[in-house]
Amino acid sequence: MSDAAAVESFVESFVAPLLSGRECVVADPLGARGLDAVRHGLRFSTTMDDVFARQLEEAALLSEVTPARFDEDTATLLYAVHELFAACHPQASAFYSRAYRYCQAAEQAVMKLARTYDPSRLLTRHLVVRRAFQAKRTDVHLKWWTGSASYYGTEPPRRLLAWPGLRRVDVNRKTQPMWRLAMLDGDEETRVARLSLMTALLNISPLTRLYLLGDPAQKALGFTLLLPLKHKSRRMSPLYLLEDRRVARSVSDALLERGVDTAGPMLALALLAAVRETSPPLVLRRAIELCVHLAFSMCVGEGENPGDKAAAPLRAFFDDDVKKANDAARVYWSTVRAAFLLDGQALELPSADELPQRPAAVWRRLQKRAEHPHLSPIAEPLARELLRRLPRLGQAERVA
Amino acid sequence: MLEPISLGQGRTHCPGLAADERGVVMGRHLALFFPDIARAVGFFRSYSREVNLDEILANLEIKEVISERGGREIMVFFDVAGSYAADRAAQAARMHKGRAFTGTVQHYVPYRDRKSPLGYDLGSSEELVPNPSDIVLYTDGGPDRRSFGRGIALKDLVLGLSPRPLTASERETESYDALVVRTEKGLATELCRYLWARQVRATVRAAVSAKKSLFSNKPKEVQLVRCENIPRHVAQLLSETPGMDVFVPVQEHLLVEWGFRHPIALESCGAAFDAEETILFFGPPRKVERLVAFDEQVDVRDLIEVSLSGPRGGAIEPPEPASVSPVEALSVELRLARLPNASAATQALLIDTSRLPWFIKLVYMLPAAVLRSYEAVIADPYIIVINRRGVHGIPFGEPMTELYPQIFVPVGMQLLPRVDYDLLREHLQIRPDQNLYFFPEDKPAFSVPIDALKPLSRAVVATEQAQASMVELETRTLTEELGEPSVVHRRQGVFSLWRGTRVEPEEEDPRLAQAANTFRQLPPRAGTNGERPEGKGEVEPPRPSNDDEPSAAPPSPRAGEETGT
Repeated sequence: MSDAAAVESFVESFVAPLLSGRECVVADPLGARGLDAVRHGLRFSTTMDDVFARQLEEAALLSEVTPARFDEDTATLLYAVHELFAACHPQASAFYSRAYRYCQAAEQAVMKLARTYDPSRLLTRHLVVRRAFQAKRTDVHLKWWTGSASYYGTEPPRRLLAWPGLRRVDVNRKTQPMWRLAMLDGDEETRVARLSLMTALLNISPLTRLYLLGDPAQKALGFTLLLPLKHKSRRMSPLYLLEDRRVARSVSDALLERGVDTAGPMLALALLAAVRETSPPLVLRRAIELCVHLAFSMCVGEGENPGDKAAAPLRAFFDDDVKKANDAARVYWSTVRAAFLLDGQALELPSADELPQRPAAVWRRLQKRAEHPHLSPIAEPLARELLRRLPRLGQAERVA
Repeated sequence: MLEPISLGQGRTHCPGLAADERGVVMGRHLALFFPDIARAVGFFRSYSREVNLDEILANLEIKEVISERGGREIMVFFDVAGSYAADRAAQAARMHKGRAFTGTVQHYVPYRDRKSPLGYDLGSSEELVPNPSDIVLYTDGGPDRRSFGRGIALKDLVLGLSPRPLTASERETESYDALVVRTEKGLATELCRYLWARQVRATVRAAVSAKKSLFSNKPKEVQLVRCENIPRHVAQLLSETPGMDVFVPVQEHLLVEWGFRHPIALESCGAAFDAEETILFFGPPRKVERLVAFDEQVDVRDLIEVSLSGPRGGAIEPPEPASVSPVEALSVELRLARLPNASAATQALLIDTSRLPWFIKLVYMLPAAVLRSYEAVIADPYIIVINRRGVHGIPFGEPMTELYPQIFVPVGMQLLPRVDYDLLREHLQIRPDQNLYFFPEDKPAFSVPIDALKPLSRAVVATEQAQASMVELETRTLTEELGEPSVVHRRQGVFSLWRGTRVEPEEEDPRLAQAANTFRQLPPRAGTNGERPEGKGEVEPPRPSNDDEPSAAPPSPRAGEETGT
């Protein structure tokens, strides 16, 4: 099979189904030579044009940013995702297997990609990388009176399911996300290599880091405000992306839809961790602003549309006993409280007088509720530390 | 001197002592000594609550004992079977400042206490008193001879005590199956009639005083009326009636006045009294009355004389049958009347059909909840609007209320006479879930079928017209949201997994490389001089072919290659 035909087959069996949310087939890993073939041959694939057109629609649902065309970056990421899935194969943990080398090679290829804050390129990367964390596999473990068989992602043949009563057929189906399989399945060496590859994928696509705030996958892999990458001799951070108004809007919408009760605590915890380290003031500022923005959006939603689904965490904060709230929620609301303490000094929060009547009432109620003494042990030290780190309002304007 | 008994001690110096099943050394008798008779009575009060005195009555002796120096004590003396029974008696005696001794014949040692749980014995055989008078008590102070004085019968002791009045709480909680009324003979007839009239089951026994005097005439006769389940108020009335006293039969022949309790539990010492005598314990200030009752009991029903007599005397004549004519109907009209306590809830409205244009205009103003929950029908000359939870928001029409199910009358009015609903249903021939009946004021009553009622929201729109005026537009979703991808794993090649792929070595810091070149004495880096590299990650696997890469071509899934292990 020529390289062109092989790439076309790769696109049809893996890339197109992966990006379109269908059943993608994974067998042998591609290896370094396969990367070259994919990287150079993907642009010639006719199927990819249709796939990209469909991805434009997807991107429009996410953000106002137009994604960049599929290029070598996309090819590398698709290759890396394929290698990740291939290393999750049950055979990959056999004694003779050295699947971890494919993951290491893919990680190297991913880390060689350009570090950028270009929203269009990052949106394209996100469209690919998020699929790696959405993909799942349904395993069927079959037992009958004389034997057993396991099928990974495929249905067992019908002959094995025949006469279930007489043959005492026991069918056990289990659906798991691929990221969980990559973290837990197989031998230690392969597992570590897969973890590194997944972390590299998230690092190279900072937009995915933001969109996946609160997602169990990112919770398992860890989230920090600063990435272990440098761009123009400066540590990269996904929060720098919020400088683009369109990205900021789409991220806050996505987080509200996911639920502030999961996304907010993860961001607040990362902020607390960043305060302990040396983090740029702008990163700290954007993190706490995003926390408050989510709370503010919930207030507006609750004021304009009482019973709004996205504002459920806010209602829980109003109605439930703060002392009985879980630690994650306590950290998030403490961060919001710290922002209220910094209002007029390092931050400029919207005033209730500028808001319409009903959102203003909810916003005032939040400010009053945040004064609960149970939040003070976290909020007040955090506010003091941020006040020390962040430039004052006048200073910030002068710096700007 | 007394010595405590040690565990496993075989024989004792004091005669008549032996170990029981627990190892407690004691004699066959227990002698309790009290400083006065009041404390002895106190002992019986306590002990009778725990133990049935009948068990010890056979060999119970209560005696006055006199010491050599002339001191007097009351001795309660009885047999005990073992230390369990003796413990209870000794404990009760000690509560009343009594002393417990045990022994078999004349020689008595203290009964066991906390200091010596297995009892006491004499220090040596020489301490035994050779010529005891009646009884010798061995104490720490030395032997003490006692001689017996007068004997006291338990019966006399009990008869000398007066019952105490019950407290208010005891009086409330007490309940008896039967009470005995002691009545003078002259009152017995009236009492029996009274009890018979109140259907109280009672039996009557005659009794005479047990006291015999040479100077008295015929013994005085009283009646004892035993009443079963007598109501409390009846007992109260009888107890307050002169000549009658109410008693609680503690035992068949021991009666305590109602409202009092004897200090000693008489239930446990019935055998101390003669079964021939019936003893009545009165509350203070009265004392005890001893009666001899006859055995025959007569039911009060047999004592009552019942006679029938007419109002003017003589026997009652049998009733004559009157001529009867059945009442078919009194021809009373059913009327509507305005009553002050009639129901005021508006559950239906009768709107004149002339108001139909008004009503149609009003429909535009009505809220959605009203349109959804109200039902309406046009029955000339009315538009009927019904809502069982109340009709609100329509300012005209005659308000009606549902007096009975399916029957509506004007608000504030009622149907008279107040016949019951079943009769009304029968009269109006009401069938459930078929018709509603309306009784408007000053107008003839009418009915409408329930099926004709429609929700107001459905009634205001004509279905056919709505269908005609609506053009259904074809719709399609703006965008189809993509699902989540799923992964299918096909069989992998064994050699491709074995070979792995090329992993570039990590980039070195040029300064470190320079430093490595500077220090030549360091061993050469693995793999640079053709040596076998170390470390798992750098081992090159054997190459089955000339191609140093695994299958470069992407996988080409083939049918029937499902992984089955």
